[in-house]
Amino acid sequence: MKCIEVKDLTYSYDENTPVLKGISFDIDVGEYVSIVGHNGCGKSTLCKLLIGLLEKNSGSIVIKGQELNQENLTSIRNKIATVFQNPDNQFIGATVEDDIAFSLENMNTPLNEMTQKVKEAASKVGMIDYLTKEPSYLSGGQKQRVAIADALVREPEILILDEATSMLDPSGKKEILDLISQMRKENPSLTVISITHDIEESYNSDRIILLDEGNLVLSCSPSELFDNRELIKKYNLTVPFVVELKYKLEEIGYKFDQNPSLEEIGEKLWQSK
Amino acid sequence: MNNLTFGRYAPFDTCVHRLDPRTKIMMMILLLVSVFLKVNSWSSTLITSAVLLLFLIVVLLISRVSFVSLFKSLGAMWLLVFLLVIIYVFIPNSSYNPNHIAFYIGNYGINYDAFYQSGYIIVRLVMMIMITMVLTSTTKPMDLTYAFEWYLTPLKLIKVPVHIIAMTLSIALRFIPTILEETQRIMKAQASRGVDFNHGGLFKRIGALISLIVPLFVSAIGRSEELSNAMEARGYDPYGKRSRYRKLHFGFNDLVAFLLVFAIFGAIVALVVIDKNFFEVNYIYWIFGFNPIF
Ligand SMILES: Nc1ncnc2c1ncn2[C@@H]1O[C@H](COP(=O)(O)OP(=O)(O)OP(=O)(O)O)[C@@H](O)[C@H]1O
Ligand SMILES: [Mg+2]
Repeated sequence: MKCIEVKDLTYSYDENTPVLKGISFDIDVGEYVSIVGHNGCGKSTLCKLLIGLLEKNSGSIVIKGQELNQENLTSIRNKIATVFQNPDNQFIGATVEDDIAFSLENMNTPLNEMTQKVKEAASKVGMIDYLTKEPSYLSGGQKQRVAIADALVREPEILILDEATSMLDPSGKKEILDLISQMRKENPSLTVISITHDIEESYNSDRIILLDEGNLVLSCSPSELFDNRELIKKYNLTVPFVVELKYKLEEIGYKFDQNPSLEEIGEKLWQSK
Repeated sequence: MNNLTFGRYAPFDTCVHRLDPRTKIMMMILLLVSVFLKVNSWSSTLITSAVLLLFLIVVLLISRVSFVSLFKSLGAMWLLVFLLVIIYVFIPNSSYNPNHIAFYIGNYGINYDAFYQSGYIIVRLVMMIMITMVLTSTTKPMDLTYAFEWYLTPLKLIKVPVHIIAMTLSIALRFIPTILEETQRIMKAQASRGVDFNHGGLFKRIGALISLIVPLFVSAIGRSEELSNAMEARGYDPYGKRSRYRKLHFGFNDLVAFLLVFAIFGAIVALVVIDKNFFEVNYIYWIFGFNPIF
């Protein structure tokens, strides 16, 4: 079943400069899609259109079979959780528990249910000992974990991450990505859309959507993309370390199957000499 | 930015901390009114001030408000105090009893009453500071906003969006530390570009200040946009029905505390209304050995 269907979507902040120039794609239920592209190509704009923060110029957005419009905005939004880039600017409550409760308050959840859900979500992201802490006492990674708890507590069908890990160090980044893969394991029908500049992360997703100056230029699996060296060159993409290594080895005469892991490359090198 | 210690919330767990913020606000108002009610005779004034001061010292001790920070905040006001004394002593006042001259400077008589007056004002100022300090250092700013929201609830009847005001207020409070941090960051960044915040003439300093304020505003506006996006994405609808995670609770302790303060308030109001000198015994005479007033 299709989870998100976008058709001929266009958008411009001001009339002369279109930001999105007719984008179409589908995303299946349970799929993990990463959206990549250079700065200013319209990724965040697309994300804001999907959750109805901006109103499209033309085209259509269908989410779980419902066309997104003013009437069903709230009900569709309740199916989606979004984590943004800046940990500080999405921390709304005075303390960790207040912040996690914020979404629940908005859904008019009764108090006893709220208390329980806040605790559950906080312990899932490992922030249970910080419930009464204020944001100025937390690191960026911890704040972002609270943002994930906010997302969890909304029990979403779609999770959208707009560069959620780009302000974190490698270990903070890994923690967040681990949390997301755990969420996906617990709920296989969770659809994840991750906007990212981290090519290693997109390498591990089910599908990569590449935007370039407001156009969708590519939508394929990571291995398909990285097997095609012309495309890489054309859109000036960086490649993950494994792929880079594979390219270099291929240049000096090694041959690989489609997508070797680091171990397989090691094995091959070991056997050949 | 660490010198903002005056009345900052101190996270202890005393019985004053545990009181309902609504009770605390009401008590604060009653006490402030008590402090500023003018009792007619000097001896009554002395008694009521002493009782209030004693009560406040006990409250300060119970709620573990640091006396150091109290004295610090008083220290910051020494100029005001000094000016007050000067004004009271040197400006002639017709209500002073011309017979109560303490001493002469040249041939200008300095009146005892002037010292009483200024002393009384200072004591009232100190008490005012003590009262607000107890409130702010035992109550989280957020709880204060919840209490304010509760007191403003009747305004909903005349269509004032009280809950929106409260939400705005609480977000402003939440972002104070963030903005302070940002201020320091910008100051450092500008200092590294050669801006000097501490030296130079007036115009140079104003220029330096502008180089701080403009980027601060730009970033604050950017923040507010991201924040409103995040709030909407998490389903905030200012006009929708929301449940509340924080519930204020008026308990037995609140009742006791309130009645105590109300009793003090009531006694002082009664004293003012009856307007009679109950304390005929001449305490001032006891203290000074002579009576310059009566
Ligand atoms: N609020 C706005 N008003 C006007 N123009 C905007 C606004 N936000 C973004 N733009 C413009 O729209 C274009 C796309 O911006 P968008 O934020 O979607 O890019 P992005 O792909 O998310 O980039 P990045 O990788 O830097 O996050 C940019 O050219 C940008 O200048
Ligand atoms: Mg972006």
